Amino acid sequence: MKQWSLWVGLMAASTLIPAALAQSATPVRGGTVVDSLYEEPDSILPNAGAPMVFAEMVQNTLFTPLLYTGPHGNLRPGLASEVPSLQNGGISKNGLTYTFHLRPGLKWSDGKPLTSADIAFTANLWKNPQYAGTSKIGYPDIASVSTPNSTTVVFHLKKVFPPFLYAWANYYMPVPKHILDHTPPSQIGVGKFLHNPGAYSGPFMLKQWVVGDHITVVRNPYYYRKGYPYLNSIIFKIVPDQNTQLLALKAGEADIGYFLPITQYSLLKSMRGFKLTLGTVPPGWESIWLNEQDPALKSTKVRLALTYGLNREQMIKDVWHNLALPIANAQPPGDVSYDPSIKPLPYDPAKAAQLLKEAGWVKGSNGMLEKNGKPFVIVYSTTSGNPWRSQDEQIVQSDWGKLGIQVKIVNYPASTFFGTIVPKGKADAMEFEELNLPSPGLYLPNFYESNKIPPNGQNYEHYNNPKVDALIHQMNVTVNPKQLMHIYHEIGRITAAQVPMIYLYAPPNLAVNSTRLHNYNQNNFAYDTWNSWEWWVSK
Amino acid sequence: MRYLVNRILQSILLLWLSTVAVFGLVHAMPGGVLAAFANNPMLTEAAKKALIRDLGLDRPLITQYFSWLGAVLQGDLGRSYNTGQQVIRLIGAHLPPTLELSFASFAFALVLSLVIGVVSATRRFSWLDYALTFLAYLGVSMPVFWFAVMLILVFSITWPIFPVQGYNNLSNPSLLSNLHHLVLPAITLTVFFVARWSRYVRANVLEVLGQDYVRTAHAKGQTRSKVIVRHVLRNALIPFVTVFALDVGSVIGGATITETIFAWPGMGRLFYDSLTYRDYPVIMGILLISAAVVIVANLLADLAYTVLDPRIQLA
Repeated sequence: MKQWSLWVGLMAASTLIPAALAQSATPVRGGTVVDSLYEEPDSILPNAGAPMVFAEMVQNTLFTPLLYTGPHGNLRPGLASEVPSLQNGGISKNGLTYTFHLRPGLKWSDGKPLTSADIAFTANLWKNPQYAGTSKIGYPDIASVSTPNSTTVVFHLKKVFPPFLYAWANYYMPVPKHILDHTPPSQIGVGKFLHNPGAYSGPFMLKQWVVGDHITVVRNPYYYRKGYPYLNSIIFKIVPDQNTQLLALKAGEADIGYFLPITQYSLLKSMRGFKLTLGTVPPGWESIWLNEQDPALKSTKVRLALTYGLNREQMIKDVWHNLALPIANAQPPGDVSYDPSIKPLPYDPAKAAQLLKEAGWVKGSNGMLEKNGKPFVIVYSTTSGNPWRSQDEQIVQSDWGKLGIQVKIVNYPASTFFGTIVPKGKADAMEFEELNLPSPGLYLPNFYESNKIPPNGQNYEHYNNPKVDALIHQMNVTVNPKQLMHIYHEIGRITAAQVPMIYLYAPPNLAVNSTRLHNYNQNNFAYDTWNSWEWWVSK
Repeated sequence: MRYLVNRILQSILLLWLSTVAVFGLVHAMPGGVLAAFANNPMLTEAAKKALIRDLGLDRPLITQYFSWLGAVLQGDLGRSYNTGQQVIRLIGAHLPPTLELSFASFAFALVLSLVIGVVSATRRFSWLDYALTFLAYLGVSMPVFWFAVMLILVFSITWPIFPVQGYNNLSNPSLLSNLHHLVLPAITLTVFFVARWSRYVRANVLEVLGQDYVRTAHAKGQTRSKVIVRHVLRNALIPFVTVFALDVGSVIGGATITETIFAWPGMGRLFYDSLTYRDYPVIMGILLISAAVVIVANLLADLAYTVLDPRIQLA
């Protein structure tokens, strides 16, 4: 409860009060905001390139999706005039047909009309096996797309896919047919369009991209929200060193810093002329994926012992200044399927020792655990160069060491860790963060279904539970939202009790923005530029 | 002339060997180009396979090498895996800031290290020599990333005279603003080079000062400054030219740390980013150009020896 109260207190101090003050002021048109990016985007073409926070931040200012998620996970209409549902007939009763109605009179930034043909073109491009998009989830399930008129697009699915609306939300923004349709699909996602998509539907349009330095976006005169955006332009300045980024903010050379390190919390808190926001709820969750290819970790008792024997509260307190939230499973607070009745397992080393004993692990003469003469050794890996993960590792090594387990730490650069170590299961325990996705249908199968073991998915822990498999199968054919929620909760309960991974915490997302910038609000399901049309700066 | 032709032929062979080394090393790196996509739950295996095919990574390594080499010989360094841009254009965009930063720091560093080296050597064991030696060791020992951040803290935060980072004013770019942004990164690199080079100059000048021809020049009644410039410095520069040529070549590849800290959009930044993303074509393009510059710089250094000392014959 302590973390929750501090969280709420900080939110009130850092978000609600300034927000209330901002609302009392009258928005002013004009001005430029400088947003500092820690990495240079790889692409500004939606659904192209690798998934990348900073690329999607810029894309959000340049394109508009059919739907977008608000700060609390609720879908809102973007280019579409309403969110399709069973009630309004946008989703057919059998869950196989989705009808979107576009707002009338939509235009691209070059003045050309934005119609249902653009949406159909985008769908056919993204479902094309020749096209390597960031996400292919949902698009191959489209059997056909029809466009009865210029503002209506109808998707006919091959099979029920409950999160289909999310395949058209946030970063999955329609692309301009009149620019791209002369290029073979295999070349669109790897060619020049990544840096210059040619026409935009967002509040801003690209003015200039100086590679390695900055990206300037300026007001799109054809943006559908009349009177918006308030700003004339946003400059995304690439500052690849986080110390320099903080100093640049301090010197007033940038207005926004996003995805900032917790190690700088004290400094960020006290920066004059800036306000610190933590996000309404954390955008992701950190966990230790336990590789069940190691026979010791296949035992649920051992996995539970490792969880009971690890002081996660200490990580939250010492490493995260009590700003991270404890989690019980992969559906953390803020997720649409979060179930507060499922509690995180407590720190209980005595119970951990008992469970290890029951699993056949006994202490040898050197005080370390062994079974059939073999010592209990865990190879623990994560990305190198992350100060908070190094601190986590020290706690893991100490706590599991007390149980009699030897922890060997081997860290790797992120590209090696995610490219080789994790998918090939070259460590016993692997710590990393997953970002929240808007629908559990998009990630639960990937993490837990037995046929998603690499290379077929992200079941890096090699978890195999027929009951969970059956629930996922049922989830994939269920349309009714209430029934779906029931299934999500049931999977959440099983995975919290069986711990295929040790769910550590949901870290906060630290961002600062200059006090001259108004309406800067974090969104749990989208990056901070999600509402850039309503940003404005005091004169 | 024959020597020159021989050296050029040798250089071409060396360049080719460096392409083999670069290609081999880059492809031996763990992680691979698809690392950026590997942890993407939204990308299906079929899509990953399509990506591998589109990038031409499904071909045998030897085929990939020769197809890359063939394209390089025609002036095509390929396209970035990460951004789809032509490598030659990416390098073209990042080279001018690096050249600007390198030339500015080289020019200052060259003058300063000659002056400091000569003063230090001619006033050997004086308090000035000790002070300059101390400063040189300080300069060599200071990590660049620390010194750069200290410069920012003092000259951008405490006394806001220079900008923290960047290449130019983004809203209103101008030459003056560009030079304003150049000062701190240029000082960082200058200090690093002065610290190194001034020690070479000092050691070489000391060695030459003890030579008979210097004593003879003094005995002939030439002024001290004439002896230093005409007889000492000219001879002392010969070993220094080798060090200078190597440094010129390496900096064209980018002063990675300095450029990263000051968000200077040069070759070092490009190299750092490409390494992060395992962007093979860009990494190979930069390494190839750096290797070429090092080879050419060394060739020029060899030619410079003959100018500095006519006794040296290139045959």
